[in-house]
Amino acid sequence: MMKHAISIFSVCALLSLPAYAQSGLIKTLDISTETALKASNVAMQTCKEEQLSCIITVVDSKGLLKSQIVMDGAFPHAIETSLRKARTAASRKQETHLLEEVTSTEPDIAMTFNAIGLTTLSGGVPIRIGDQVIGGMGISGAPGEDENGDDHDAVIVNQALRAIQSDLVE
Amino acid sequence: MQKQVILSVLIAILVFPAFAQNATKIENISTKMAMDVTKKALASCGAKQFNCVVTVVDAEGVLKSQIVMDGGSSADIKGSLEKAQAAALGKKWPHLFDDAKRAVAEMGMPFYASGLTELTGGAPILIGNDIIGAIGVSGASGQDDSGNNFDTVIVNEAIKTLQGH
Repeated sequence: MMKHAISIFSVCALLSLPAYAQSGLIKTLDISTETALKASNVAMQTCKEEQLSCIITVVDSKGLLKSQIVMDGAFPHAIETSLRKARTAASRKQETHLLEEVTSTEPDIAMTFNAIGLTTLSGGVPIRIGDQVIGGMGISGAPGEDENGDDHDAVIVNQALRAIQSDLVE
Repeated sequence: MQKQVILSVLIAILVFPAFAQNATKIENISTKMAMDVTKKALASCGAKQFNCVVTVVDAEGVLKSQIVMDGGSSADIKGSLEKAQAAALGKKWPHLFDDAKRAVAEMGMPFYASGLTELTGGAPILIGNDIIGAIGVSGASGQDDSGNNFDTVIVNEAIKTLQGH
């Protein structure tokens, strides 16, 4: 058993060694403040047009804050919620409404996420360049669904991210 | 838990007079004005080659906007918020703020344990004598030729843009 474990460890070490030998550094790509603000302004404009008072948050790939804008009249508690949405999207690398769907089969996941500063509420979307996640955007304060049955906050985030698509180049 | 107790004491000291009336009316900074002052602070930080975090809160210390410049420190996210909140609460109730500091000191706690700060770089935003919000800047270390802390210089430059609002 021990011998088997040592063999597996050796193989893993050999497989991972070349990557470390190449540079010893990890290159991370993150969204810039300028692009974060551009996306936030688009989202804020949409919220205004729809007479919604939202909170718009953008984080980098590690979930660290880049920008957070609280619109006049927004729910104070949603400051934390929008940050959690953005952070969850960046960290889990997927839209938070997909996690919301998982709660029907795994009810404990919502409690676990809540305990670790994340959320399963919809309205968080990862920001990508190709397959690489460079940040996350979260919106709170836009309840309900549109005529297609899509959650309003997620729709607004996706609209904003489409508007900055041309800026998302390496 | 300890921090929660201290904050409860502080809030009780700071907001107690409000209970003497049926309701209080507070004028607060708008998101547009918060973003205007933030943009100026960001430009000022950039011109001085600092990577700052700029935070604006309303008159009650609730967040209006927080922007982290590229290269800004994650530690400054909390720092700039505390500066803005301390400026909002301290200026509004200056004598009560002193009481709060004394109360925390009597508990044998450093003041930073209250969640506020005495560091420079926070300033209230006023209309006349009424505070409508506050701004906090972190990440601009050092002093200018006149011996003024850079973060305070940036904050004051930013606030000047609001004159005439």
